[in-house]
Amino acid sequence: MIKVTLNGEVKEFSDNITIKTIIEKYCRNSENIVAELNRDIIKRDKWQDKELADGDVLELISFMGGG
Amino acid sequence: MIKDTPLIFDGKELNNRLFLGTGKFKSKKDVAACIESSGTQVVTVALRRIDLNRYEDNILEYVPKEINLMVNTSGARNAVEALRIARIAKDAGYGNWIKVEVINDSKYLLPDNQETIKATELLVKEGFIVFPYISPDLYVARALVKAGAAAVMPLGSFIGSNRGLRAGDFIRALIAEIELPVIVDAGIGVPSHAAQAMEMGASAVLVNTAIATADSAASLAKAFSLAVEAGRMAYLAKPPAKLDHASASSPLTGFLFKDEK
Repeated sequence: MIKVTLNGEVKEFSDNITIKTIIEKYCRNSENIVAELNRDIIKRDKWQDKELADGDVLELISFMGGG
Repeated sequence: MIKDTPLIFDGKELNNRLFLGTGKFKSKKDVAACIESSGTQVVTVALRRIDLNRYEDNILEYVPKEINLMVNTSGARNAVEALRIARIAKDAGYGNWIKVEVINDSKYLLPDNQETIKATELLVKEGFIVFPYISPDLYVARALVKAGAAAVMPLGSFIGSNRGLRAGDFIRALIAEIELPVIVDAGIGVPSHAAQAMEMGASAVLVNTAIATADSAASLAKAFSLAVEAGRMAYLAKPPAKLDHASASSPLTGFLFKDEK
């Protein structure tokens, strides 16, 4: 198992989990999601290959109402 | 009748000069209803972490594709954070139009003008179309012109306060002195405030709280749209100056008292 800080919460995931798998778990629709891993934006076409490591910080960001 | 010309940003022609903010709405369906009733062509949205505990509707599902999205950098406390948010927005495929909103103060929510100038400089260099939200200050506005902003967005009064054009005199100075479009943002509480801003020569008005928190958001959005149009038309018509004495609107001589002296 690895520990990843996901949107500010420390969570445990299985080894070799990919960004794509995490997004599928937490997002109803991945269309407007942006993934930022350790402050670097990970392009959508890389989600499938990008495996997370222990201690990674992942932010999943989307659009919300705002002025 | 004077024919208005569209407001143009980034080659996009805007004929409706009401910009709509999408925060604070009771339901995202109301956002769609307001877009429709007002005919707005520009909508602001924000970026946030998704909620891990529940699936959320995405605001963009309620915004038709032809609407121009302006992503605000709310949550940013300095220029670097604003840049980070803008880059994320761009990566999501939407964020070329950025409303720079840098706020450090939690009581008055006043924008940090200095960090806003820095953020504008950085964002313009990266090819963003930048709309900085500022406290109306002439020197700051001039610096933003120099930095390559697309417009300046001075606050009318405190965000969400519905107090109208408390900063009206300073906004008027920006309109007179700055070559860029001036878009009045924040504090616009009722349609007459919006009309006033447009009569002063503002190029557009951004409204969020007043519409979003009204009993009937869609009706108020329509009312704002009409007020913006009325104010714009009045500005173009160049109404006469205020006088401090009377000026008769009916002839006072030549009828009842004809020939009497």
